[in-house]
Amino acid sequence: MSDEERTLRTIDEELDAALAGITAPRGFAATVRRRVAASRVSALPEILDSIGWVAVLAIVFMLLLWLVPMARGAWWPVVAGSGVIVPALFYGWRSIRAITE
Amino acid sequence: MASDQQFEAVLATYQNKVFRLCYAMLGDRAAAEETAQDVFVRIWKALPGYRGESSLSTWIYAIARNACLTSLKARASRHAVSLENPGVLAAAERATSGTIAPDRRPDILRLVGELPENYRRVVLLYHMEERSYEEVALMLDLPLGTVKTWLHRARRQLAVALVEEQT
Repeated sequence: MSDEERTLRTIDEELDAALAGITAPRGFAATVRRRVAASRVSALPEILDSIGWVAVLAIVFMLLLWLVPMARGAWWPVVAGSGVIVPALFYGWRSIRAITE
Repeated sequence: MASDQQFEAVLATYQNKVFRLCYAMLGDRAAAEETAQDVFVRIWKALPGYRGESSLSTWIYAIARNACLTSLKARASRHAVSLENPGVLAAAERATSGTIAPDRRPDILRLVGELPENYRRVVLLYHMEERSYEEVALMLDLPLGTVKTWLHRARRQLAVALVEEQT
């Protein structure tokens, strides 16, 4: 065996000894799971957003009913309720869809 | 949830591979650990959109390489990549088998650290992946011939450097 071959073999042996079998540190998977859990999207802000919209629209409709008495009729509670809830649900749904895309 | 189970399977199968790829690319154990964690968070987010256009390993290694390149760019202005930091030396000491004098091991890693970046990555991965050319080629997305050529040149450079150091 030539000197060069001997040197190359030494290098290979030393690198094998230093590097073979290196694995991810202990606790790596647990840390990844924690980070993944922390990065999960929460629906809570969107639910609160929807509640906020319901409140705003309810105030607007109550003001309208107070300012425009002609709007009072047999169906006004249904119309007013739909006018509040449907837009609020729409905004909530749109927000949740946007953050989960 | 199905995607959670898939992610657990991916994590169990690839955590060591991804960590070693990051270590080879970054040359720093602490940075490799942090970047490998980022890689798995990215995988978790992207897994529902994985359609199998490429093999799972190819897809995962591509994410890992991109994350490492981003990390390297971010670190470039702060400090140079080094295999001499305490984390790497400690890792080498932990891996000591006892067949070679421990005080020589940092020397060979230091010499590897002085290689050009592409050679260094190939050498590190080759030895971490139990001398598999195919695995190194897959992980670094290089042709098999390139891996063999770079490894051959790297070993020659290391031999010259080692001889020079000993004389």
